[in-house]
Amino acid sequence: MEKKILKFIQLTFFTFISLLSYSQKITISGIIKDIDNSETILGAYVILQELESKDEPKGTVSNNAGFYSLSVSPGEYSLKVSYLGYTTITDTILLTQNQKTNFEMSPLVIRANEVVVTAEKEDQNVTSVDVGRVEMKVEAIKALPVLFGEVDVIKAIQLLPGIQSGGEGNSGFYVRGGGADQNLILLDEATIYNAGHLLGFFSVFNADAIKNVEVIKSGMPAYYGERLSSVLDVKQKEGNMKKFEVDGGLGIIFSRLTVQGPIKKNKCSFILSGRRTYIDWLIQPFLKKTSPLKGTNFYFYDLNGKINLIINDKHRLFLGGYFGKDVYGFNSESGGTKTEFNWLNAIGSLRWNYIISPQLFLNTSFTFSNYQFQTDMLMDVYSFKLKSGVRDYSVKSELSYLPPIPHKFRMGVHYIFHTFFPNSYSVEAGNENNLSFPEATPYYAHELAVYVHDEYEVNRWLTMNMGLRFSHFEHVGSFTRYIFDNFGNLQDSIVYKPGERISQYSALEPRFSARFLLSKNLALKASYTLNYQYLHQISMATISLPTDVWMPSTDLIKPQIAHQVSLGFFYNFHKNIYESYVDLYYKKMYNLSEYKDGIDLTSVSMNPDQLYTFGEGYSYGAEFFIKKAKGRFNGFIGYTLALTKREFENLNDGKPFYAKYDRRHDVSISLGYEIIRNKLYVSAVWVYATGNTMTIPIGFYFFGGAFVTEYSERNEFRLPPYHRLDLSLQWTIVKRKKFETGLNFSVYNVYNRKNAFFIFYESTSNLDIEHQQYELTTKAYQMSLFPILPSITWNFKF
Amino acid sequence: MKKIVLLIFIGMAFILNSCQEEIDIEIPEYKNKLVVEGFIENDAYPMVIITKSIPYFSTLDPSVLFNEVIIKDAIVTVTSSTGESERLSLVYSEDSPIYFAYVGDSLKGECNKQYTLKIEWENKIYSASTSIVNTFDLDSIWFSTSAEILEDSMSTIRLLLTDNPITKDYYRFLVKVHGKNLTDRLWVYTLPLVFDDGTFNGNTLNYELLRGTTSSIYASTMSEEELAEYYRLTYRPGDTVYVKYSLMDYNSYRFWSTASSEITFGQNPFMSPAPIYGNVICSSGEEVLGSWCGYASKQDTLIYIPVK
Repeated sequence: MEKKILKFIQLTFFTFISLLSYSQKITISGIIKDIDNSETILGAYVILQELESKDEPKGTVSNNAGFYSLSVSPGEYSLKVSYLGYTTITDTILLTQNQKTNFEMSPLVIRANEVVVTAEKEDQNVTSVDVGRVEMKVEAIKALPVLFGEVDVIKAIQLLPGIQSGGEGNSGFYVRGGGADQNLILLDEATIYNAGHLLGFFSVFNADAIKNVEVIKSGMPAYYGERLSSVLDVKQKEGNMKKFEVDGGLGIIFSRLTVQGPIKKNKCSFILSGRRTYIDWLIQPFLKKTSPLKGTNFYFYDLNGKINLIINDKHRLFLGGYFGKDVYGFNSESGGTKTEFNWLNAIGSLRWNYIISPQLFLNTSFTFSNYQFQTDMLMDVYSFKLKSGVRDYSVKSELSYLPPIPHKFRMGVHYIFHTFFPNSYSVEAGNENNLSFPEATPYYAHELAVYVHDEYEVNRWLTMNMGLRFSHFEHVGSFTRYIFDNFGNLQDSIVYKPGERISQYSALEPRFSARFLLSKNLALKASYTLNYQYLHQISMATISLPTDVWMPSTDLIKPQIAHQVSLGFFYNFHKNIYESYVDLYYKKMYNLSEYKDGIDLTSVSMNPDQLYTFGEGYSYGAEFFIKKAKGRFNGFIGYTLALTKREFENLNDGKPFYAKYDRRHDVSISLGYEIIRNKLYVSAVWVYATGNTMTIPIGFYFFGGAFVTEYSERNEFRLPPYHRLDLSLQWTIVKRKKFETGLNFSVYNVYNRKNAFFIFYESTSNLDIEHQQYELTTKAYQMSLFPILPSITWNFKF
Repeated sequence: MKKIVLLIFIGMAFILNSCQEEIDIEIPEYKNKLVVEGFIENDAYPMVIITKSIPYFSTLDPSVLFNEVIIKDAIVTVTSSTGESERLSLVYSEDSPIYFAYVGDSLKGECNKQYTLKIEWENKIYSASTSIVNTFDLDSIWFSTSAEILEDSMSTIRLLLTDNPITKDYYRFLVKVHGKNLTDRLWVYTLPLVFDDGTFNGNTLNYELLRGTTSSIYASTMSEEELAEYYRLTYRPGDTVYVKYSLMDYNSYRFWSTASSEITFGQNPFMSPAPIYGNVICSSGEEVLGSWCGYASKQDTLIYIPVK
């Protein structure tokens, strides 16, 4: 361990030494913004090509704050600033000394309407070193057909190869065979623990408030960590700095509204976005008295807000937040059972950007995240309450250093204080049996990470990302550990004082990826990463539900570990109109957790981490992708062939079994066609996936006067395949500078495929009491959630 | 409790305008397994019910039950730790849920003894061991009425017992209402099926007997009135109720606690089913379902005469 820290220090030191010898260069830096609303532009390309020179052009990308920095030798250059959807800026520029140049880019008046799901730069598919990283433009997401005309970030990323949904009604997504808890979901740098509304049908991201979406599925750079499989990094818009803007949509099931504008022109802006369903109000008059929804609450809503303050040239402050809640209540026919469950996410983030010098950029953020889930049930004389949640306070500071050498550094520190509230029950029953349900005590933990990352352009063909992340995790008191003997007798309890260290873990996580250009259009990319994850969301049911509890690593639960390697070929053809790739991966995971067998939601335990059992898993697969990026007709096809298995000593008799979301085949086809330029646009999405695994009953027998079921091996069986077609038509009625309006017609599940949500069994008996005859048969039924669902939404913007 | 969870999830699906349809599930080659429901109690002859399991989606009717499920040609022997042994014979018995059982008539169970079961069938040998621990006494037992019971003069049964602080004890309570109905012929379980003294070791337990029912194989043959009788949780004035209270060893407890969710609630589509730990082993290594258990039991009779 000490050796590793020493190596870490050596690496940093050596880098600084080498920087001293490159002092002949000039740095041009600045901020890139949208000319209409001053929204900063992330991921814009700034490229300098020295005139009368055969040297390769030098380029850089604007960062999360729109800041770019490029160091070159003094001379005359042709300059190009480009970002898809905007007019490219070209100019010639004479560089003799460090200078600060900001750029304001104009959105393309005649939009090419490219449904670009990946890439900002034309040949990004080939040249980018960020191996598993996909950036998505919000306009592209908006062009996909979705339910109720409402665009959805998570539905859109699930179309990409390697990223799959859990199926109907499942709020999680699974990346390259990893679990739903292995994805880090960030909104303005604050963690979102449950990103789904309405059982995952919608995500918590309101597309009108979102600026940028980035997904990383392999080759995770050192500046991200905390999770094994992926990062979904979402940034909110900052607010129109120049003028007031209102946009929104009115739909059958719900509506949204966004208001943004300057508080002080070009100095301070705000944006406020809201979204709510009102189906519960609308259908009340139509419900029968016996309907489970009569008189209940049934809705969800989101509220996004942000304030953006430019203090001066060097300093900028952002204050943002999100609050969202889901409430679903229903009553039994007789009214004897009332159930309501609700969950909420609340996040807040305060960020400070400081441009220290043309080569040094500092980003510091303070974030808060609170996730809570609660079920209330009243059944005759029993009332039952189930509550769980997570709360985080975090601070992160990152320094970007862009020296005049072919290295780009990012180094930072990130600290989070977690509080976990595992399931706590309270049951009040009519009788007074003194078999009680003890309350689970909260878990407190510290998580710290220190990292360094370098993008090193070795030569014109080879660029590498290298990074090292040191992570540390501690479970601390106050806490009470209950100790049981083999028979479940409470033997002892250990009480820890507040702040007292109960367990700790540390790790060094090397990250590496490389891109080797085989030709102008063809690249070979490879990556290796080692990730540690200190948080666990243990899933009880066969689907991912908000009831799944988050737990920290403790003395009983070790951190999850994953090694991942990937290797792929990336090829563009027809002048970058077509992009394609083949990417192979292999992932090995350790210390995965599952509930022990025979445990269910009502299993009583004073320390929930005693309910888990541990094992390992592996996954491997091949992803194929081809996309037509430009033109009136565009779209993409993605196909993943993959396998993922688990092996747990205490499950399935120690034999390996398929993970529940093991999907052999996953196909996504998305097509779009501009029927009338800027007026009428039609799009279609078709998805196909092998069914999820299941454990099914295979036999039954008599015991104790009852029928007892015999089950197959764990996850031995498969649900029928999932497939579905969605269509949407976008009609832009009016499109002027001051006012835009349009209609969106969408049909979800066009051919009404009944995709299985879950399978249950029912027995029927034919009775002939007179002749003492009976015939008992059991049949399987599937329940599906969403049939064909058309919708109309009216969108407006002014 | 599991029912609550199941209700939540089914409710969730229902409220989202779900659709339901029948599907065909193809089960790969199914191998029938031997099922042993055997037990021995103090002051009672051992009883062993031997059946076969059948594929889940097959049809069950009286001829299938008689010809395929019930095993009539096994050789069943019980041997005690003190050397006595008896070969059991297949008889028609009202005490067996399926009316057939292998019973003894000379060897009776005794406390603090171990008993081995041996079954020979189709050239294979199946064996298991269990023991009968010591019995225990109740401090008191009575009919109790409480505000939540809506109908007048209906009651439940409550009892007081003091747990032995030295031993780890595993309890079971059964009830039977005297009557000639099908529903009252067999001992009915209370919920939970079995429990240990973890939360009250060495203390006095005030316990209400929650009369539960198993997913009875005869429920589908009962009329409305019989079903209402079968599922009632309370007792009426004039009822004669037999209560059997037992202790068992760890292996018997482990079997019942792992089997309880399947026996009482049956299928829950959202949970991974738990493995059931039976103790019967086959010489050929194949899986055997069920178990061989020993119980140390005592019985009380209560007649409900309501106080005016």
